[in-house]
Amino acid sequence: MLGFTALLGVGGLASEAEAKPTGPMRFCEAYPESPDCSGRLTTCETCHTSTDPAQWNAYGGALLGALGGRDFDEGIASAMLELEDLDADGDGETNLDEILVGTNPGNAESIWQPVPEVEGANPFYDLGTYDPRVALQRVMVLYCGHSASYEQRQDFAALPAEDQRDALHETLSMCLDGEYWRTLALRELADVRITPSYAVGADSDVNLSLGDGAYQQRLVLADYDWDYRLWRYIMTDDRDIRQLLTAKYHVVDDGAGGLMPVEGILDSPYETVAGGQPLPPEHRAGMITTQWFLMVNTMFSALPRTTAAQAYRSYLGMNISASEGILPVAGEPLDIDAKGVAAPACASCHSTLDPLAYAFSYYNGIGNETNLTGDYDPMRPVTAMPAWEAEQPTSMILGQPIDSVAAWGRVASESLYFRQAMGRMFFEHALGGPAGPAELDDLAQVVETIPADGHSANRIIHRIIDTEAFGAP
Amino acid sequence: MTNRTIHAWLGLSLLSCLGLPGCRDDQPEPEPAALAASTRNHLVWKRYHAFAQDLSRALELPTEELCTELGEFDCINDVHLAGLGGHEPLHQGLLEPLAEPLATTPLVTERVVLSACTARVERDRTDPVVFTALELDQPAPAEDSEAFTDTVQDLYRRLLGRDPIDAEYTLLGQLLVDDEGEPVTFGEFAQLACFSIATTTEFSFI
Repeated sequence: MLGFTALLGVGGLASEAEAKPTGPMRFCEAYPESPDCSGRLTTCETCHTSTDPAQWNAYGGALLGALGGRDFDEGIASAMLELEDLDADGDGETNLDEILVGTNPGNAESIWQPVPEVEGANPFYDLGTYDPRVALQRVMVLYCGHSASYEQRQDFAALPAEDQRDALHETLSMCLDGEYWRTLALRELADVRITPSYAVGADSDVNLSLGDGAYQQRLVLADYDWDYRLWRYIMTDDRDIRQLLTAKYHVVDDGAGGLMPVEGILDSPYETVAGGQPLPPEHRAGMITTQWFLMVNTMFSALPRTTAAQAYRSYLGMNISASEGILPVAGEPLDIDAKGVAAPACASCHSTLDPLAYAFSYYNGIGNETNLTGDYDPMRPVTAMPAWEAEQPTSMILGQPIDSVAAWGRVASESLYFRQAMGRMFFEHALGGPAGPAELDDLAQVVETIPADGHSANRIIHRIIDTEAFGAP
Repeated sequence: MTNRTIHAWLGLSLLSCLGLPGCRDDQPEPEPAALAASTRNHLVWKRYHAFAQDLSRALELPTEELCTELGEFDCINDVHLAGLGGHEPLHQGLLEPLAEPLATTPLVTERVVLSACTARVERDRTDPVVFTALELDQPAPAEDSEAFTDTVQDLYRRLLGRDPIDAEYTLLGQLLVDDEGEPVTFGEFAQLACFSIATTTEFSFI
């Protein structure tokens, strides 16, 4: 009945109400213990079936009714409290129970019941509990790139039960030190963060014709292999993954099949437009200031919103275009580049995004001259945005003012969001998809132990393979 | 593919869903219906790289010889990459793999497996490596023969890393004759047995 009432309410209010990007933030303030606030990410789907145009699910509609016209940010907490003992979507679970277990209180199809007890016997697998034999096969496929052989499985099964866990971790260590994981698998995990493109990368076969065709130059705007090497280096050998956002070095092949860090400014090895690493170390911040990252995301933008959004999405796990991670800054957006982002429909997201982007304004995207791509230019904001000097915008990330991209990287890398994003990336890779309600405690535990484990990617994976989510058939 | 082959394959898929590692001679063998089933709906897709590696290792074929389209284009790393769970950012702009198998995934899985099994049989005609129990152009062995048992057991160990159970021997025994009940050659049996085992759920998911 509540759902019906809520829908009526939504119908009456839809024309004058909007989706609220601050909703996820308010939700997690009220329910920090919800799995959506400790391991997964709170999304608009908690309340909405669509954000543009705004449409509400049963829970969102009920909240809208409970708000009764009050200011959203002031009234939402008490509105959620009022609805806790009700069942907005009519699936038999109260809103509060659904929030605490991690299902959607506004979607009757989002429901979770505890995993049923196994009935009967299975002499081959330890159903419902951790089975090291299952974990072995998953470790081999996911981290070594192939299945365990018949002989390997026989040897493993013959071990005393108390030795199988140790053997499993030894196998994992061997895999994480192997070629498949260190090259192909890690590279594939990085693709969505680096977003490489053959046409303008180091292997490009596109030629620029210069000087009336008298001179041809390959169109290499930057070299993404620097990015892949840095990613792979930091993600291996128990290095600190916070360096993804703080490293001042670059990484080259050591000539013996390994990788090694190098310091300083690195010239392009190609006779091309670009391709080296022109940035002085003091302006570096790991993966988010490589020449490729700045080139492919900033391009010709005065205010590099895409660059900041990609960094936010890739390393903090929050996609602003999906209204994730909205943490509005008072007085923003300034609309510093006169793009009209202060309009109400834009301002709700740009009040977070624009302050994230100001610090990136000092970095060239695609340079107008050779070797300027990805370089640092203290005059670039003033030159590119006439209002900059008068407004003196302050960059902000996660509620903290910062004065540089290096600081952006430091604050981000120390945040829970970063640990959640990295833990979630490896967890989802291991499970083949997002964690379900039965697996959220395991995910939260993995995220929680990252600092104690020295922020090591290898240690995250060792933790994951010990979880029931990974090893229980 | 004959109807009999399809039925045998479906039967094997069902058995492998239940997860029945066992041994014909030395393990107790409960009735499949009596076995407890997993209550967790959670299998991980074995994607293109491990899929290719496992086929390559099991059949002792280089990965580039498992399957090509038009004799030129690599089925796994090129033509059917997305359907087999891979992605290609540089040329295709596909930055992430698909979350779940596509409608075409079973088709391309069968395409690759059939090609690989056929390639192995053809190579074994002149240089036997996997199918060594009999000459491949001879009639297939009897179901109670050592050649049949050894061939099936070897395929299970190579492809699934375990020994078959009695029900699986029985199912594969159906491949020893064609739709009219006439005996097939050992080569035909070898190809279909290989295909049947390598297209099970157990081979494609972990």
